[in-house]
Amino acid sequence: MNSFLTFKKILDDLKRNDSSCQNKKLIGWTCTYLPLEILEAANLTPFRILPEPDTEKADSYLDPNFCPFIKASLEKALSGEYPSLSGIIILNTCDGMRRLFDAWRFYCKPSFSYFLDLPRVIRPSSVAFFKESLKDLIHQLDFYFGRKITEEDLQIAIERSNRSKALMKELFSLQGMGEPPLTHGDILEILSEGWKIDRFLFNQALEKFISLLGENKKTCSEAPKVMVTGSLLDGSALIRMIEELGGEVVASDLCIGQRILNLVNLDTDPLDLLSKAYLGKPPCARMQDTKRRIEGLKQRLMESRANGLIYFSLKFCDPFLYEAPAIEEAIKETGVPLLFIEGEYTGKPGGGIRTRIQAFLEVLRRDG
Amino acid sequence: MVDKGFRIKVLRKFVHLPYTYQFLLPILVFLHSKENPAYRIWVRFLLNTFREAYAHRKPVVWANSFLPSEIHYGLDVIPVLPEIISALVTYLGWSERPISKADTRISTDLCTFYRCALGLALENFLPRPDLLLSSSQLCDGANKFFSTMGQLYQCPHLLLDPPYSNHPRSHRYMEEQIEDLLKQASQILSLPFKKDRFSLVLNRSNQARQWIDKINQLRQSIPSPFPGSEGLSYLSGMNFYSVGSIWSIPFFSLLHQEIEKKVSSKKGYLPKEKYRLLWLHHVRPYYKNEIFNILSSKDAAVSFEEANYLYWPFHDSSQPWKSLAEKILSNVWAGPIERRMKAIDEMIRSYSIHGVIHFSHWGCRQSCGGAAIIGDYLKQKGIPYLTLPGDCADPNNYSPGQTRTRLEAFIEMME
Amino acid sequence: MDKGIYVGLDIGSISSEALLLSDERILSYSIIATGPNPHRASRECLKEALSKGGVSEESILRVVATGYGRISVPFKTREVTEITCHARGSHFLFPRTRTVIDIGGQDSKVITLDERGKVTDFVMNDKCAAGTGRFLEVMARALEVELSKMGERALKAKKGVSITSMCTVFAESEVISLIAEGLEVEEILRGLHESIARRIFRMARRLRVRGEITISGGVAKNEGIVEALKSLFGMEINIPNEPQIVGALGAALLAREMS
Repeated sequence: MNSFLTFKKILDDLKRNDSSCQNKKLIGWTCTYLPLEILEAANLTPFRILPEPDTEKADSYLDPNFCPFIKASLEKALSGEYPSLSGIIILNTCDGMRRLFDAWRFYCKPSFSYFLDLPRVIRPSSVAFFKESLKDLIHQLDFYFGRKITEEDLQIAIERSNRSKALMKELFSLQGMGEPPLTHGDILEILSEGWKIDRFLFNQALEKFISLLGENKKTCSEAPKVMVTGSLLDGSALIRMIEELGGEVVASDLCIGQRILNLVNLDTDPLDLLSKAYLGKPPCARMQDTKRRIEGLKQRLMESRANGLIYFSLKFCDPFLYEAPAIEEAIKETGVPLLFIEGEYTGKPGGGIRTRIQAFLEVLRRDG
Repeated sequence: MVDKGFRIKVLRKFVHLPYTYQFLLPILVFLHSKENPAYRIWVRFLLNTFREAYAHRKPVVWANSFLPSEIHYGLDVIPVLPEIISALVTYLGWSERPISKADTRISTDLCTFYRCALGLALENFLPRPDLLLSSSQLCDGANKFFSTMGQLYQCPHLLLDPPYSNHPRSHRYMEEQIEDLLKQASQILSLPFKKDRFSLVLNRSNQARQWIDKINQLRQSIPSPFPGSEGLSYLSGMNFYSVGSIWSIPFFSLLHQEIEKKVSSKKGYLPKEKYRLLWLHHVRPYYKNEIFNILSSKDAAVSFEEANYLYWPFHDSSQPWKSLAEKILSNVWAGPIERRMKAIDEMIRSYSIHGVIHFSHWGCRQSCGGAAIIGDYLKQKGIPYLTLPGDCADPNNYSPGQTRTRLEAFIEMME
Repeated sequence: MDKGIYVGLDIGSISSEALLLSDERILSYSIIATGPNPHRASRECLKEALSKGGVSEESILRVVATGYGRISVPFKTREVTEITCHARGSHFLFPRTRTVIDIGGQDSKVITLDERGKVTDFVMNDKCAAGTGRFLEVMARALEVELSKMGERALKAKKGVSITSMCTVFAESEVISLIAEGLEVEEILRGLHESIARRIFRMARRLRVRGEITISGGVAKNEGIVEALKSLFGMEINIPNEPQIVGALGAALLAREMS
């Protein structure tokens, strides 16, 4: 049994014994710039929209040249696969998300929908604006769900979320432990489970899983070490493929992985803290400052001792596609090889991608 | 035989020579002596701008079309709009080479206007910028393109980042950003920061707006006095590029005069007008294509295009930042799609529209992403609607047979 | 001249058809390969139809040309797109038709019509060849299967493999790698047919499909596609005896109706 299945079993056991979280309302969300703490403070369970790849129906409602992740998200909404959602919150991440918000409202008519503004720059004025926007979100939630979110609620939610992020960080640090060894692919799959359930439950499951992981020594592997970055959102299929082909994924800069582990400290006004922490988290390409992204990547590459970087961009994802050449140049300057892949949002990457990854790993082996 | 590399070198030399534009001016004005006088102003405006940009007599600022042009004229710089240059290069039939040049660097699924401009920049055909200004409103690609240019030219890049919501807090944030951006820009370009100049420019912009409004009203006449194909070329070009400049008032007032003549003589631009169409999306293909001829041959007039829809209110020139923020945030293509729908409804009513065509430019997410929703909305109301897929700048992405079949079948459907 | 005839000419990218219609009935029709010269193809298929029907050129009253090559027909009274013609032809054959699926050589279309056979809406495939006759041709070559036997063989497999690539070029290489993986040709064929059918189904979704569905165009002869479409739409589909002449029939009907 691989580590993910072990985790899943722990979680299922906990779910069976726990009834407290079951009557909480679910709110769908799509972008990691959304401070989930706010939803949790409102006694709602954030439910991440991470759909299975399928665009059968959505193709009719969005343009052929359109982000496949967004299409898949709409697809599930159209097929009525989110019946339990009490609402959705979509962020002003990119052109695609704006149109997703339109299409979702137009075709699926959710009872609560909110579009949160999100600045592209980090300046005092933009942080202040983001904070005001968060305040507005809180007002809307208060009003719609009939429960006032207090500062204390926020404090508690932040603490709980910090605990969660700390556990996730620990989990990443435990990669290679256990039998069979915990892989990066396992971790991402475990995290994906966490996006759908109550934070408290997830924390409990993580704690238990970590305690069971055991003291098995990390085996020093000969495998080429790879870091993955980009707009990869379809779970861990690509990561699994790299691992299957003999690469070891040692780090990831993805919205389903390490791009979200920024802790929020707890000294002053919670909204001040949240707006600063979220705008300042490791950036997605939709943010303005490419240099900051490059510096972050370089640092992560160094820390993780990766031998190579795989840059995956979803097709039609303008921000990641435009930034690719600049990142490629900057990373190659440091002597780290980079593989750029422009791909579909599919569970199973096609044969062409497989061949390219295999060849890339061969190159890394020769370098090592 | 002269080799190709050499010819490109010579061409580049000429492109960069300000005299080229001075020399071309009388020739082009003569060649277009039969065209309407407004068109000749457009030609003069462009050649003059290019001459000044390559001569670098004032700071050269690159900006995207969705940044209000009042900003350039208020700063008193020479604006270079890469999208419009791409459209012109395409019009001249030269877009294939720069696009294929860009394809060696970035994905072929990105907007061809920016791929074309990137190719031109990589081959050093464009006037060197002193500053890049971009607005992230509507188009992610624009902003990232300007970032790329910042790296390529090692040039500072300032961003205006308009929010989605039209809430008072957004207006305050926008005003703050505008003032900040203008101060920073003046500093970078070592220009004096003059609020008065902005007031002057906004007054000019108001005058132009008055004429645009009158033109739009005249275009409601039946038969349609002014062709949509031109509405999508030099008219929308001046709309995005010139408002606030000294050129805008004579241009729009002369165009108004021309159209008024046609309206009073009850002459349409087509010999016979059976259908009145509305064109959605800001752009059309600029290379040689049959789209408008096919429509004309079926007596279908493109009576109006959303590109020229007047969405912003008059400026209060005593409060320039507030007014500019207002113009930006009242943009009907930003924000929820209902705003655009409302504008389309209004255009359908005012222009007595029979059918709507949405031109889906390959690589454009913001407009094409909403095409199906708008289509469904219009079809529910019983208004014939066609999505016409294509590409504005890459002639290799134009499929003549398919385009003809779609357009003709659309007209047959309205019969 | 006692009896005039009306001619419908459908000049497609692969085949051309001519159909002769009198005031009462269909007199004759012909189907030929278009070849490189649509102008010549239009003359030849008309000549063939005339000789089959035993009528002279002089008795032609009106000619309506349709199809990709309609502009190249020299002796037409009028041109009408294949969209309007397929709708009209299908409506004539199956009056309760409200949706027409036309899979042609380089285009595929889904058309909705009203009770009089008038087009109410339509969608066409994007510029790429996926989901068209051309796609099948390319795949037939890649799999070394006869084009006319493809559908039949596809139905021999119980289950199709899933083909993820939509693009003809990528799908071709995917198919080649599936062969390399040792999969049965029949399974791959079935997968391909299902993928085309899904593509058509997806296009149809953009329109509100209701009432009877009729399929026209040469690909309608391919049982593999038709079966896959039936199961996707969850209903029977009308198949004309001679699906290739539906466009020409529609054109001839329009010629007769013109005043």
